Amino acid sequence: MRENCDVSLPGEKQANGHLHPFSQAINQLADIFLSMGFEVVEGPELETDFYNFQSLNYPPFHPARDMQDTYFVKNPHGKENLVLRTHTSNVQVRTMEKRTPPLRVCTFGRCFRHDAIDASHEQVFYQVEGFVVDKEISVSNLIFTMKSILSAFFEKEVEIRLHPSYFPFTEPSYEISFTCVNCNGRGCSLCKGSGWLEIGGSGMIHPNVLKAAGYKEGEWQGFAFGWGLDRLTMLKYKINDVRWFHSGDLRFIRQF
Amino acid sequence: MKLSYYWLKDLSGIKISPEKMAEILDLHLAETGVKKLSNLNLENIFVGEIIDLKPHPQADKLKIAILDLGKKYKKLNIVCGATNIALGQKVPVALPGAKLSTGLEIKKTIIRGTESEGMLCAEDELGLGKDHTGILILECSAKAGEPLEKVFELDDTIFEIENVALTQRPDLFSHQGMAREIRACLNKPRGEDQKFKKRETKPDKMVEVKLEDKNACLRYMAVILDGVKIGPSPLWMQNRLKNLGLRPINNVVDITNYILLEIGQPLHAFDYEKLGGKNIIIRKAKPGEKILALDGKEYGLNENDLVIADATRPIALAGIMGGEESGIDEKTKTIVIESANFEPITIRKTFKRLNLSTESSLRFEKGLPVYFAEAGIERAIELMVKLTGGRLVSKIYDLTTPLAQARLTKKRKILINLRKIKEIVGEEISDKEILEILKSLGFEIKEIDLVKELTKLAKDQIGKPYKYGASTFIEAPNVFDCSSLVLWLYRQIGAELPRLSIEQASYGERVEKEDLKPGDLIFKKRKSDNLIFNKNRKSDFPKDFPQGVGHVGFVLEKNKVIHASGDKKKVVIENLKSFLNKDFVAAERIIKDKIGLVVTVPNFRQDIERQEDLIEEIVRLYGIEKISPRPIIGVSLPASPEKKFLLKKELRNILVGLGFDEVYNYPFSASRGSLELVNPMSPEQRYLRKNLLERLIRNYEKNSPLFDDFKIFEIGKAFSFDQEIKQEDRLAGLIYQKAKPRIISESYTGAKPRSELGSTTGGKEQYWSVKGVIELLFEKIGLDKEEINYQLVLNPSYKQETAVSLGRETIGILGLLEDKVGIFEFDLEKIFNLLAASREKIFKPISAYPPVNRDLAFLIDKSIKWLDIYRRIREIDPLIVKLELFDVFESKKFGDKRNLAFHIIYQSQEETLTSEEVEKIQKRIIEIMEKEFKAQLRTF
Repeated sequence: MRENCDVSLPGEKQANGHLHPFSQAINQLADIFLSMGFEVVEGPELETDFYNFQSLNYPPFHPARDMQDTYFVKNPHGKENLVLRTHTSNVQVRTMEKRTPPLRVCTFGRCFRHDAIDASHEQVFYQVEGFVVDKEISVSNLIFTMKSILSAFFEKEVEIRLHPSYFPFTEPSYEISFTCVNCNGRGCSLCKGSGWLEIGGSGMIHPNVLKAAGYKEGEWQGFAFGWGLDRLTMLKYKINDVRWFHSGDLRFIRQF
Repeated sequence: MKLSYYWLKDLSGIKISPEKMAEILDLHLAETGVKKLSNLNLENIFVGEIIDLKPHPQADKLKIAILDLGKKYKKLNIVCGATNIALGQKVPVALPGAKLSTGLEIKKTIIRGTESEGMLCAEDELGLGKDHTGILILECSAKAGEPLEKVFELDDTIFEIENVALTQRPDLFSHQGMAREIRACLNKPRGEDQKFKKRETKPDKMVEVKLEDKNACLRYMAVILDGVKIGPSPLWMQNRLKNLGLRPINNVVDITNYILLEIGQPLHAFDYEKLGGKNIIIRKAKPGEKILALDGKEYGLNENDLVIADATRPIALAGIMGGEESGIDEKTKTIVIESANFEPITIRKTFKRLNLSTESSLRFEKGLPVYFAEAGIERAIELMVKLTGGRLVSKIYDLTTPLAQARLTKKRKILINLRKIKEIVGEEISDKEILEILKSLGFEIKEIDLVKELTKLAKDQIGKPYKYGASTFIEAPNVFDCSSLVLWLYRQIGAELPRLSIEQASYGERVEKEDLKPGDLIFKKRKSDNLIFNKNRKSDFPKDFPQGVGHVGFVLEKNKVIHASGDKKKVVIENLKSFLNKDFVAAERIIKDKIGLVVTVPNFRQDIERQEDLIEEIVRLYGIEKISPRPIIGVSLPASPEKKFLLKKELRNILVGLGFDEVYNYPFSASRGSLELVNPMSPEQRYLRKNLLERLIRNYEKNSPLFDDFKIFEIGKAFSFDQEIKQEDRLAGLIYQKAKPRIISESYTGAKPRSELGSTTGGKEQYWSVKGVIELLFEKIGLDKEEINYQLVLNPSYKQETAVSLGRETIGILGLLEDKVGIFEFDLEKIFNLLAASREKIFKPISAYPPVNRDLAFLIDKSIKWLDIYRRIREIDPLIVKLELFDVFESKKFGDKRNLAFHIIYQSQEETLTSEEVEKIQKRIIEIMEKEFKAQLRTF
């Protein structure tokens, strides 16, 4: 090269695409789950009442169904409407009935909520779910597993906090919060000063779910947890509005 | 649900700060929101006791009151003109600095020569109500010197817990229930619920109560009160209601609402005079019936709706809302109070259909304990008598179904295993602590010799009548069939069995005839003449017991068996030997331990059904935060994602490498063609999408004003149905380039058509671009590109479309939306199924001998496809290792023909090729081209 060559000139532009932040988060989470021995499975978005509700211990007309604002789809072949899955938990019995434990499974996918959209709530949202079925599985294992995965995902040690709650398909059931990754628990605008971020639900798999899967009563135990992937992704990349995800706006996508 | 701190403090008797109480609820029950109230400015206004009252020396109409304000201010002189004050009363005293709601600021003043150090206030001056007839006289329980704000609980703290977090706890939808829970959380002995006086009176007035629908209404209690004076309820009650978001209406309605919040039992009050025929009938609505409800709206009813009716018409929507026409008004004197228990699903179906959710339906849909009805009506009588001047003038009507009766008298038992409990919690909690927690929540625990208890109970049943299909809850222990007897027995020690003997037979642990012990169950073959069994019903003849199971007996000590015999029509005792003699199928042991801990569930905890439910209680009160994280111990096998997940990941990575940006779109569509939603939120959501391109094209329209070029793709589901409903993964992409291409896509032909005509496929850069992408993708994921066919199809939506197929299957399309926009969409399910089972790449040895390159060009008919030529030439000789098209040219002077030019690469694995060998094959190619494709060799 000549001595007076301006080496600060930009190089030739190369083709370079961008994975949607959801895909990036899913890839990263899948790697973490895999490293802990969880296999990755997928389930249908258009689902029957059985897998979305009944097999998960939501009897017909149970008030717990109100927790789920459900989109229904006309069934061209039958009387009973189909549903757009309200959670990725439809994968639980679908997987269990095909398999014999021990099971360590995770799943990622699109879910639907029949409710108004705002900056933090989408009608079409994504969940990440993990569940384990084995001989001796405890609440303490559940806490460890969730803490490890969240710490790995945010690349810093986080603490987990559980609140007693109610979901028909787990017993006991807990809401999960973890240390605010923005302020490390000191309190900021993101966590509304509490130092904690809510991320989803969890619990020990209800015996009725294991029964619906065809397992012999009392033989197996398990835990399950489901988190908002939208929320995790927003936290990870500091995205301020959930509506960006489906915007199809390349000014958004090309930042990742 | 909203809860008042003061109310909870009163009922629990626990004196802790609002913050502490919120923390307890938050940690042990559910996430709790906290809101401090301060809706009125009552600063510097205190309770004062009138300890002396003197006439004013200068004015007849005025008095001088001497007030005691507790420790801070003794003996204040206040001049007052109101006539309703008297010695010993407690009154609100505004001190200097107080600001009344009228805007008046209180100062020390001299009134007619006498100093007044403050002011006594009327209701309206405090902003508490409208009354201005005199000074507000406070309850004598108010403490002198206490801030007025406290007296009316205006500084209350309201806790809010989401209803869904308490779905399984109907007992907590009241302050009494929550107070009980708070005591348990603090491990205080469980305080008794408030007891209300049972009242008896000589009936003076009557209604006829008829419980017609015994499935939808489990219990109906009613009572009549006469002489009721309708007016406002006391301020303290109004304030509690207001603080919790309920509007005070009148004393009668306020009392029913107050009790709803206090003990959780919804009540309703009817105007007795408005009841047609003095009838109360609990029945389903008749088709066409309507009701004007208390919200002023008319609701059309159908035969699934439960109503309370008088002789002619519905007067209330049971468990949801009363009717306007039978409601309380200012003229009402005689009232009927209803306290009932309705079946949850009936109530839920109706209020969901009518979209009429109320405080009452919220509680009934969760299933209230039946005994609440009693507490509700007793409390109602007490408060109505005290606060409305009413008198009890009827008996207490109480219609109870057998199911409700059973719930009132029978308590659930659960046999627990402390070792298993600790195992599931994963924390070493001491036995003592576990038992203490359960006791504090109202569970009774007994250590029982299980077999002794079972055998004692079994013997007590001898002689009881036999009834096939006897109910195990309502009818036991009065009548039994064989399996209900053993189920009922085991339930008494807290163990659960299936209902049918065939299911019971495989429930426990198998034991041999010789090893039978008291407590074991013996199963016998069904009798061939037993018509209950259906030969065609599979569940009657499962794999384990192909002969079926038709009878079960319970083993006692001393070689005896007890069983409910269908032949003898009663529960009988028999010798073990004779029982085993015939039709023996199997014997099972249900419990292994001799001694067991049996937990009795209190009747307000209908949600507790099994050990898992108790574990939740234990962890909750122990403190979930005290459980340390521990890794799973167990075999961990190599894990992998499903193949399809991997394929999608691979495709994403390839596309991103090619410069594609990924989008996620909504899976809905406004246009017909796929499954239809029942409840779309907007016209955009009327259908599920049948393809991905529709939304990708919208993405293009949105981004094209912003960028000169982009490539986008989406992987997601598309939906369709014909014989079956399909939801398949698709891959769709779009390439847009406004300016000249800078990055040249390399398709395997390496050629882009040039044309002087511009009317054929030539010139449409994006078409060749998408095709290159697809070819590369296929090659990367291991689809054999030589097997893929491309077929031009006409589609009015797109400028040009090509169907892509593999074998007989169409796997997708690619084409042009417009000149600058290339598009593609592929069915990943089909591609996934077509992929070879093993996609491992196999190494091909690299020849040590040099390749020989030759070029050929032909003029050839346009209708002849390159792919056909390509395949034919590749067949000619294995020494042709590569065939690369490098030029396609069309021109007017060629007419119907076009020029195709390609490289041919020859190579051998064994030797260096001689030019003779190559020439020989070259000649063959030219011959075949001329003969089979009518091609005309061109020279360079």
